[in-house]
Amino acid sequence: MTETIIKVRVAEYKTGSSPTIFKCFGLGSCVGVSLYDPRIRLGGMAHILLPSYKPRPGASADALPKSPFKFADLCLKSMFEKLLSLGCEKERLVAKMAGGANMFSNSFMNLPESPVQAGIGERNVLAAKDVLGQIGIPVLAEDVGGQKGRTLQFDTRTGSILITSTRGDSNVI
Amino acid sequence: MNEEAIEQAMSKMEPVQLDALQEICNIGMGHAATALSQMIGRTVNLSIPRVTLAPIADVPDILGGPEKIVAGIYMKIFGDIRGNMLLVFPKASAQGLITMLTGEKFESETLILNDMNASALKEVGNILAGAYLGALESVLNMSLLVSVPSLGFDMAGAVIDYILIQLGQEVDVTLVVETEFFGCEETALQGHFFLLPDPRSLDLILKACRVKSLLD
Repeated sequence: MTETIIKVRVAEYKTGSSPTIFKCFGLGSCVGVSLYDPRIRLGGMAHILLPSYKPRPGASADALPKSPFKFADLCLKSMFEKLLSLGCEKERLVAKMAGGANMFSNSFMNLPESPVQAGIGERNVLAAKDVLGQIGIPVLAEDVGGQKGRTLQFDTRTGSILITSTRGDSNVI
Repeated sequence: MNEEAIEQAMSKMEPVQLDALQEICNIGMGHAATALSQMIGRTVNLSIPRVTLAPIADVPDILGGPEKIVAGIYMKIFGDIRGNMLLVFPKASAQGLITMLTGEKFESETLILNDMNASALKEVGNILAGAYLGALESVLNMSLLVSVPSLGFDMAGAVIDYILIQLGQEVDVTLVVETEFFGCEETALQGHFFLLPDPRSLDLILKACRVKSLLD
């Protein structure tokens, strides 16, 4: 059976069963998170842009943003529920993540007028781990941080993620 | 005016408003191209700016696809308006530009830049941004400042997502003003200049151009 390839874009998550391959292209400070049920070989992948959702001042606490899946908390919770509805069991679900790099560097990183602030990628990684901890899904492996873009291929046949970068290196987690 | 109202107004922008944006970016880019041309001693041509209102998820595709390898020089605009400027050179053009400026030749696979070369590219960004904003300052009668440049040399998606993260905190769609510039036949130089104004600054630009405000 040939595999289906599904592209996961910024602020999206996709779910599917074996032999689906999910691809996230060019992750910098964004984080790609996979959830996988190895028994039924069904999983999903999220491409997260921002840590967690805070309603705007004055907005009601229940008001959801227009594209909720750019936030780690709203995206992962929604993907988790979707996977349960597709037949995954919470006890079997495992997570992996990659990305969260700091793409730009300069010597003015710590000044307020610096165009880039340190730690944006790191905050996304921490937020994703935090949400997974709340739901109770273990993070089996990660390849995060550094100063390189990553392309991820999450293979639902094996549950592994192939990570490639422009530096020519590759890593499987 | 909240972000939602701004987003709605942005999606209903009229031709006259888009024309105004296109025109001021054309003026800015004209000055920037002259500066680049003087720096490298070669002719630099410009395309007509393209103004696109796009969901932030589409921005990597506008840049030529998330996996394309580019050198991105990123600067923030401060002062009367706020926003982001991104100068993008495809890998070969970035390397060609460095060769023109420093005389250093490259193996085509090289992706790691030494300090000297990275600094040369950042300087290109700084000079272009300075010329661009200088022109905008006099057209709009505003005071504009530019941050120190930051350089990323990697996949376009990875270079741009930092900017998307900043924009994404407030809005889901963004206005991208894109100008393509290219050298003449013997210099295969090519690049894109992107202006991504903060949503709140967009209205200030329109008001300064004396065209219809987003709020009317």
